[in-house]
Amino acid sequence: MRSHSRAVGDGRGDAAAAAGVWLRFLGLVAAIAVGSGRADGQVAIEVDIVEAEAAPVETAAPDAPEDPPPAVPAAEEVPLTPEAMARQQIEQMAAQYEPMLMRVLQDELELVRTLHGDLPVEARRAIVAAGEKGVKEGAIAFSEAMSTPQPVPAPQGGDDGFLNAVGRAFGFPMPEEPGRSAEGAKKAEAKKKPVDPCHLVSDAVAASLIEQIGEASGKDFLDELSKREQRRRAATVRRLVGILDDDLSLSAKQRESIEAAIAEKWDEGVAMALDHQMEINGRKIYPGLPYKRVLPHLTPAQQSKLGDGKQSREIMRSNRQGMLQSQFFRRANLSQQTERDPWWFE
Amino acid sequence: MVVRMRPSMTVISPAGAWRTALVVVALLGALLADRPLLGSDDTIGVENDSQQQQNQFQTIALDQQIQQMLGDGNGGGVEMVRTRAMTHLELEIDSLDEACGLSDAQRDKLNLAARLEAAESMQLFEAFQRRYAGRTVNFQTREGQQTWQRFHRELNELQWATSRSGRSRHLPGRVVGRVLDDRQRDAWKAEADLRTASQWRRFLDGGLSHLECSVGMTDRQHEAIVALLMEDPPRIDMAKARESFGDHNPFLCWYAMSRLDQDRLEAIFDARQWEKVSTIVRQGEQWEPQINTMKLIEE
Repeated sequence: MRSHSRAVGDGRGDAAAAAGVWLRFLGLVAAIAVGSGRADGQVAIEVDIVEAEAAPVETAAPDAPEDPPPAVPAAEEVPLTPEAMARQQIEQMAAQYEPMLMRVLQDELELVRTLHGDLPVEARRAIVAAGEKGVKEGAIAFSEAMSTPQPVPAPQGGDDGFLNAVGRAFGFPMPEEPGRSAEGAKKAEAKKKPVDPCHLVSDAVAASLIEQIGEASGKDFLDELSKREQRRRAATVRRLVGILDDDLSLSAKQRESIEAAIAEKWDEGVAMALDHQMEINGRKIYPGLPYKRVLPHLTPAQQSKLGDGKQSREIMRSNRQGMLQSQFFRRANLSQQTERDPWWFE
Repeated sequence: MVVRMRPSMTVISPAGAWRTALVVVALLGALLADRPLLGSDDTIGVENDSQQQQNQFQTIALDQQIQQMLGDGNGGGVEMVRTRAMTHLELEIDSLDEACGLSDAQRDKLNLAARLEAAESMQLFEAFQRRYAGRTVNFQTREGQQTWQRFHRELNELQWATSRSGRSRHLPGRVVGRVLDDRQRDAWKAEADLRTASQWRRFLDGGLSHLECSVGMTDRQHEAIVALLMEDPPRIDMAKARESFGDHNPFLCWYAMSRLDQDRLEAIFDARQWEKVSTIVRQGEQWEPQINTMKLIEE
């Protein structure tokens, strides 16, 4: 509304603002007057904050009775604590992710059916129940991860960042200070690893399948999951190298060696480079691309065009949530299962 | 007297009624303070404001659009187009040199072709920029809408004409066959074939990642279908296909599946899976008219 009155720009907005200032001033005077009323001895107003744990300070008037006051009835609506509100938000977010994870579950069930089309009905019901539990847990875990505060990118000097230090000082869950301790480094490493809710669903189905038909028979499903993961990683790397090829005109030998270098030390963040390419000052930036492993395979001219990846690393540091989300949406969008297979669900 | 109350309750003695009234007035004032005093009809101001906002979104300066779409929005303009074109063409010549070893004379010829290509791109870009310089499109008028459509059509044509991804289209790509000797041509063709195969594989990845989810495909089945699809890839203009669909769309893969020997394809899957796969194959068939219209199949 303030911008509205500015937009009109005929002075009436200024008049309104001035009126508001006066009315607020009157309100302040009134508040002082009400407060001073207690000193008049006509009436004492005391407010017991019901939900506060600390006992209220007694400021009784001279004519107040000496008997203790009757017990205060419990509040009808207890406001939520910050923790409860955060939990509520996480549950609301999780409810949005559940339908996507249900499609992922149907994909996994489809693969189980391909491998074990003779499962008895009871086993199917148990696997579906375990999978649905996995969906709920995966949605919650992913929502929690998405609600984790983002690390603040460090300034170029390599410092950990002032806001991170302040956050830690106040006990917020900020990233560990680099080089602080071996344990801190381990924790920071663990935080870097994104939560993959799809894996939680797959794991739930696999565990239940093994429980139903035994480890020896259920192992083939685990093998298939592992091979599929390898295929997806290889496809991601191929696609990424293809994009680099368009930009840098790589030779076949270079494509092959870069693919091997990226795949050798796999990082889930690589997929970010597919979804979040950007151009800054005429240079393409690939967040998530392991520049240090790619650059040795390029000619000086190609290296110069690609850059050293400093901006990419800064973007990655500050966009962990983006990485999580794009990974998950990419996987969930692959699913085309729109109807529930009655073999499983009826 | 002590009155205990909950936070939501208020008790004031009769003697303090004037103070209550004052507080109510003050609260009302605080609530209304941010509203502009616009006279007897406030809606006039609101309408003016929304009209201004609408107008802001209904007109577009085309100069600005050109800068954003072609010059990265940072004022690089024509010079940036030239620099980009030259940088990319030089990298292609380096790549050619790496694959088949160019003599100095051959390199000079290709560099000259690259400079001519970059100059041609600049000319096209400058002509386009001159055509739309200082023009603003108003979407509320029919003329404005038609200008906008024409602007976009010409911009797409310009981007296509100056695109660096179609090696066979640009000048160094067209002359390379005459610059190289037989041995070099063979080496370059082998390199080009490997690039085409790698691009085709990326299209397959796009299509098969959807397929494997829908039909619960095993690794063995995946390998079998990849082998079948890599045997004889359709002669698709990969650069054009990527520009039209992106490099990871499933449709080209499904189209290619529709052109395979269906008996061999069916043999990969069980009956339940084939029911779903055949639906996808039919979707692939439906892409044929669009693929022909867009001239994605190379002559």
